Amino acid sequence: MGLTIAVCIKPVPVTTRLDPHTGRLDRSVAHRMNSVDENAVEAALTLRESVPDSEVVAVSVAPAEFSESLRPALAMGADRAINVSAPELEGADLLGVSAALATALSGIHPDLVVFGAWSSDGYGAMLWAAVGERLGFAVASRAVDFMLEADRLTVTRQIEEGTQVVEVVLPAVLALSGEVNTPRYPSFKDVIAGKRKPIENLTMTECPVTAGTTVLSIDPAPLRTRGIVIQDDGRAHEQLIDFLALRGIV
Amino acid sequence: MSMATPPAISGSTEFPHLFSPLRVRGVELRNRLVFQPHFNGLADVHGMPTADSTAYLEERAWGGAGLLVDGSMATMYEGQMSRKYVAAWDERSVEQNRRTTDAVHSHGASIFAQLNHGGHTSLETPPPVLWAPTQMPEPSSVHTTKAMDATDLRRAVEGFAASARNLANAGYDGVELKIAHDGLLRSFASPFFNRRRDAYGGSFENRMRLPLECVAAVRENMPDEMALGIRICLHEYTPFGYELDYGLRIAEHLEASGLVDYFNCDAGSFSSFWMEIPPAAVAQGFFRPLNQALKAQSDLPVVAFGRIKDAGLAEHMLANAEADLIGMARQLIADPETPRKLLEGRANEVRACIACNDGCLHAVAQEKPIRCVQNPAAGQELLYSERLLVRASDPRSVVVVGGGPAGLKVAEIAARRGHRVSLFERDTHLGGQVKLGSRQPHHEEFAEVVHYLEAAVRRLGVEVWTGSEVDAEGVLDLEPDVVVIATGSQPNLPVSHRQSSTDPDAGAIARERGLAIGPETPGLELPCVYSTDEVLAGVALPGTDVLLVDEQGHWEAAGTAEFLAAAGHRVTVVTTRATIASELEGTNHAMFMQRVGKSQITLRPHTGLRAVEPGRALLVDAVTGEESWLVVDAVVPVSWRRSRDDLYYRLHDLLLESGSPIQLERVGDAAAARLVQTVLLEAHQMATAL
Repeated sequence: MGLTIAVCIKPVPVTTRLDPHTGRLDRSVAHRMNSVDENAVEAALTLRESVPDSEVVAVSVAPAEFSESLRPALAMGADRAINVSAPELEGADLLGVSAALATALSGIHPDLVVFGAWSSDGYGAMLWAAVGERLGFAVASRAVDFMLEADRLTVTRQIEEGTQVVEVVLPAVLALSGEVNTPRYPSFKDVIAGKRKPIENLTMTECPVTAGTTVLSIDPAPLRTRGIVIQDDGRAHEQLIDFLALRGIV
Repeated sequence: MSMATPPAISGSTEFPHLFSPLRVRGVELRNRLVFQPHFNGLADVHGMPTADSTAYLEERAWGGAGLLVDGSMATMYEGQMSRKYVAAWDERSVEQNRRTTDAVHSHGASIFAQLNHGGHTSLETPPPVLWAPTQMPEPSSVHTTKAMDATDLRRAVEGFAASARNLANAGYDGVELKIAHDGLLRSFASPFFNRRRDAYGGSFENRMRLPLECVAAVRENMPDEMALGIRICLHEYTPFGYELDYGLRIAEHLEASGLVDYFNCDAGSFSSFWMEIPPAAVAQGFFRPLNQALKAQSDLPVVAFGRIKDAGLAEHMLANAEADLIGMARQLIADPETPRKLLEGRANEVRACIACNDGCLHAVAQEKPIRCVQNPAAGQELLYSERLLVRASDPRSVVVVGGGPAGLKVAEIAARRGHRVSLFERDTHLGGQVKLGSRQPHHEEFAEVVHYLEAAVRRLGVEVWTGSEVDAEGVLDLEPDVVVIATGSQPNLPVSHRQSSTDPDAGAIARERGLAIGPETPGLELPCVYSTDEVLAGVALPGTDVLLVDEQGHWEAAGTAEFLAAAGHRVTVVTTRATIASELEGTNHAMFMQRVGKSQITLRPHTGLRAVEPGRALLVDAVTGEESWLVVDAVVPVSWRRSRDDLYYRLHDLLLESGSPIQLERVGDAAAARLVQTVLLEAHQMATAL
């Protein structure tokens, strides 16, 4: 009996820009698969090879029109894809998205859930923890290497001090650390095959959203201003010291 | 193409200085971006501006520039350094110029006109006699000059006066006089060109007399609110010319007259023409010290000039009080919409000028209409402006094979028109030959051709697959409406050459059908023969001495020679033509020759390659037919490239057999290897027809 390996994909906008009115990301632009999610797909495909009859399911939570962002995962070799959407999810925060994703994942009964390290739009890098918590799965994060034997996953984690090797028993969440592998380039045949695989678009009738965050305001980064030029008339050092002293630097 | 309400192009959080207004005399400029004056070759051969001239300027006003300076207008027939210089002295120019100023104003921009008397300098079709303070040719020119007499001096001033009246009638907001890299007024100001001993020479004040008389004549012949500026050459960059201190003195003298409202900085002369419109080999912002020096001395607004294309640099220069306005010519030729994109927070969508000079300067120096490598619409806005792109009424599914410039351009334009586009590239990165070309010394900015296109196709949601080699049957499986083959080209080396092991032989089907031929020089299959693609991809050549055969005349040969010299090789470049790198644009060729003189590159024109043997090459003198052997470690032949068109022919046959309605096109080098400018125009044309 093979494993069901879910790999979580985030459709991200191709250009990152904050909408000055809502304070949220402008999602009116084209979307594509988050780039480090390619590493997650690669990891999932590698893991599939270690247990016969396993399948890889790509899962995303996004408006249905972005679900084509899952196509690269299918071209790389994922068996099928599911996208879950709900009108209430627009602008949802970590609480909302993790609840929706956990609900969607529960539907496919995964043995292992693989996440990329972060998303290139939000850089939250926390969703894997929240989903693991909601599913009640063991979580191995910041993984740089991993090996699956029977129902045990041995994971090498990157930590401040060096590396740490841990073992988790399935079902589990595996979150990668950065670009830990080289994602495969799908061949032309794989691309065609990927186009024929299904992307299931599900709409949540009961969305378990708990909105915890409201954006109050956004402000642009401070502008560069003209620096102070001190012409050296023999006393430049004194002016420099005054300048630094006034700001409590010396 | 006018719009009813001029949009406000001022006020920006990201570039607050660039987008703050500025008043110059009676003229309120909406922002600090100035489209610098230049000869655009769009007037007709009688010096009358055309609908193309108007559309060219209107496009930049629509794109958001604050001020446009409509350049290269002649003050009299004897000063019309090209027959396509606008005949500003002639009342018949007013009608079309009025259309231009109306069009520009309708977009909220201001427009000045630049007046120039060509004097001792000329382009392709000069007037029968050139005027100068003292009889001598401009050192870089073959034309000698007529020393002006009192009547000529009076007529020169009258020419400025009459032209100013016409320009005021045509609705310009100001007039700029050119005392810059060409023309009569600088030659009068110059101690080298002006050796007169009358009231118009001898002393500094006397040398400045004619320029000041012309300034006064212009001021007197236009309404008070119109601005008057000077384009001023601050440094001639010649061994015999003046330098910055003298340039500043000219400015000081003009400012003291009280007749001048602003300065527009400039440098170089015909004898240092590579500094007038410097190519990519000159660093961006190279002329900042000149701008700064004039700004420090003058109380008038100063327009900065010279290889400014980066908005961050421009904003910094204003914040740093190096200038009051930022002049851009080539950047706004390459992307007229630069100001608008910056203002709307779309700086990452700006298409950068690559300072190649291949489209703009190369064309106008030959009196041809201006063009641009990066912008196929430049000078032909009425045909190809991006404002004319219409959404396809019947969006189609388009498969583009090949992610070089041609394929990317088709994908960009097709996607902008609403087609569903997928693009396949066999390499793991997009860019094709542009990637290789940008590895040549001084060609880093060439890569921006692809940076723009890649960002554009990704932004537009084009489905991009890299590392994916397409086969004909598979393309049919995709069931597209259109297939565009943009698979590029490869060096035309024998099938048995090593190249075929990494880049499968292209063109076999075409050769079999007599539609292409292989190379005919004996020995090109030998291991000591290297393709430019191999060289630029980083394959190390054996030994020291390399023979490079230039039968192409452009950077593929010249830049590869420099690449090899930089890697420590001694390079002999031969060509059967009279000049090595004969097809390079003038400023690029001049700087290439300067660098060659300082490097281990030997040039042998009038010399061809007859055969290659291990360790030596048989050369032939193209004039006498005399043969000689050259001992070399490696040979790099640069000839025409052969199209990578096998997929095209396979698909063509398959579609014919199956009676499929799929539309098949080929574009770029896959059709015929050419320079990127031509290829991008062709791709634009193809995609607008889909």
